[in-house]
Amino acid sequence: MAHRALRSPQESGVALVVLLVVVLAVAVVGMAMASNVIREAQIAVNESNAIQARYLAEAGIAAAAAQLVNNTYAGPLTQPLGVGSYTVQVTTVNSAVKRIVSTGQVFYQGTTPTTVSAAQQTIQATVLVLPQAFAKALLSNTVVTVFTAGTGSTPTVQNTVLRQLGAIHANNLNAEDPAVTVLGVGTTVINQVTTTQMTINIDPAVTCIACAPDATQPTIPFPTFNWASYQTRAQAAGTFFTSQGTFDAYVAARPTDPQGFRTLSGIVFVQAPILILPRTPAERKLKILGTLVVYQTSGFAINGLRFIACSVATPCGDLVLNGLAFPLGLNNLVFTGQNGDPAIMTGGGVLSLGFPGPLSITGLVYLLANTADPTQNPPSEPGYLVLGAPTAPVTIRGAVVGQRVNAFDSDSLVYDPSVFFPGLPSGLNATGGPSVLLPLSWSSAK
Amino acid sequence: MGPSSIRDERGFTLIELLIAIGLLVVIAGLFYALIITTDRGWSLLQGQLDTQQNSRVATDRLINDLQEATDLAVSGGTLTARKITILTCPAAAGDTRIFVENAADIPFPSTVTLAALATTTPATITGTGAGTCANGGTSLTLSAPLPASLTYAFPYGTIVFPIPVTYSLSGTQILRAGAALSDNAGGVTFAQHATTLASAATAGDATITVANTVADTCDFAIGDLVYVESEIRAVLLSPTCAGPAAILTLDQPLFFSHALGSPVGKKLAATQITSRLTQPPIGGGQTQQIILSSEGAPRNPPLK
Repeated sequence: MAHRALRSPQESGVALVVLLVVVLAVAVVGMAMASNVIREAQIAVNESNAIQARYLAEAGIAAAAAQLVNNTYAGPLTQPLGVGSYTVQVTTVNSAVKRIVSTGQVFYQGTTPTTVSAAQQTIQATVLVLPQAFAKALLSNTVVTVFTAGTGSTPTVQNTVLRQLGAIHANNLNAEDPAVTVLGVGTTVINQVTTTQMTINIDPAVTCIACAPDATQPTIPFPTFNWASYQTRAQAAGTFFTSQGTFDAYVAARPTDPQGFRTLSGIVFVQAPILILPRTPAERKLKILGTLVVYQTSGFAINGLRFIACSVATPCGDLVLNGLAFPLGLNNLVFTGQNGDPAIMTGGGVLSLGFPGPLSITGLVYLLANTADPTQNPPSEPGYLVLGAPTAPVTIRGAVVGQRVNAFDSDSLVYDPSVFFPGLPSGLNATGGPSVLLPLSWSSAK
Repeated sequence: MGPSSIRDERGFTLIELLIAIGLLVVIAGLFYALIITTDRGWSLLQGQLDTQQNSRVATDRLINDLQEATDLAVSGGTLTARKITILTCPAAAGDTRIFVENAADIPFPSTVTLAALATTTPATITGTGAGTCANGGTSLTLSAPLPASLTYAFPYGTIVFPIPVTYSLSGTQILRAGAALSDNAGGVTFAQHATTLASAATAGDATITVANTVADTCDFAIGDLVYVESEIRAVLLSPTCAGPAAILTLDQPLFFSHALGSPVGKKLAATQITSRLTQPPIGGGQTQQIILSSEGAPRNPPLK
């Protein structure tokens, strides 16, 4: 039996077993490596898809931005492009602020490409869309004169916030020459000065940085004014007055805060040919936390000087006319505003020489034409004056839009587009022409 | 069966045995070599995958952060992207909470500034708050020591800043805001292509001369955003980069004068992340090294 055992058939299978083990081991290793290679290839494909999806999303942002600039955005847009597509939607936060959400996706590729998403990326951008009229530090429908009249004055007009938008533009609709005049030692203009025709006269003594004068620019559509919208709001709030006296009484009845300030809030509309501040001691310390309109609504005939002044709706507390005083009889009025609505709207002189103390204005300053019809375009008469004085510097942080602008003596105008964050001025209609788009924030969806 | 069976039962000769053993040894040796090679290849692949993925994740995250920033700073071995976010709902005076678009990188507590109009106010954020905003966003609670409620109202779009996100190195880890982002890294460098003015620039200049960090080699190309100290401009024309200096034509003249030697850089962070992985000493050990270079530029406008 021992001999038989030695002859058992199993003895001849060792090589086969070894071979099987080896083959199995190699197969396992091979499959693992193949799996790894496939996985790595898939990672590379995924990476490539993700990058393509991201660029598609960026294309969507660019497309929506172009439509917002050209005022042609008409709703959500899906655009096939290359191996995928982008879908972009613009949400209107308010009249000025828009949010763009763009999703780029890449489809599975193969012998039969599908519309099944292989990768997806979303980008959000929040932008400020402004009419061109609100994109300059200083815009005039006719001409602009910036000058100094007093020793030590250092009037400055600048757009250092958004330099690409330019500092000064004059539409020069009455074809006057020069269209822009900048005079005086100490005067500073920072960023481009443009007009549509005639010449730009910048005194060599002026500090003119990056002015690059250009007299061949197109006309910027000038906003028109809808005073009735302010009147309606004031009437609804019960703050509609028909004379200086009733306005003065209203101010005097306001309580004073610990600093001695009286506060105006909401929409205050004074229907009178003129409103002078301060007319009473109560007006010497005044915070305007709302909108103040002074306007003669009985037709457009000039009846003395009319003043239209708007301040803002939302109480922000920094519209402080501290120590403000205007000489009586000089027909001056100053208002300060925020919240998109103009700080100052007037049919006559805005700020005058001779009042004590500094004045700070935040917001848009809108100067109507001193014509029989304030919407007349071009205006038939000059009449808009913004003047400071060496002893009473005026700081404007925002923008000035006027039919005619004779500015500044010791004034500082710094363009600040954030005055439009809450929306565009509700009483101004500024349409036509491409818009200016300013990025506020950019983020990728995580 | 008998006689033939007896013949079959004869044992192997010594030579046959030696040959068989020899063959087995050779086969075993080959098998061993195969296993070792395979294992090494496996480790190599895993290492490559890990190192590539580590670097990719790190650079992707970094570029995202840079694009969401308004500004960046490189100092030593750290890079700080100063990000912003915006209010998604208006905040009224007296509010004790705000809604922001992206609160992911705001640590608690932290002090931020809300900026709209000429009105800015600091705010201390202590944590997430209650309530929802129609436009989305995260609710954040304000608290002392700064005013626990807002003194002023702030509209949608008000910028909340700064939200600094810092990248740094700790040992072999890349840290993002203090948390490990990528392991096994080494040789990470952050750069801004910084150079200096080769001659003084005066206000109104639209061309500047900058030192070439490598002779005859341009550090800047057409379209690059360049900052000269705090002023940011774009390169308008292809620069001439002969010798030690390059002449850059800017899209807009400079507002201010700058002295010789003032820093000039790209508003663009170039990062080079070298991710390394040292293998266990199989067959003597090995080191995987992947070098990824990437550049990202802030997409948000600079703050005033």
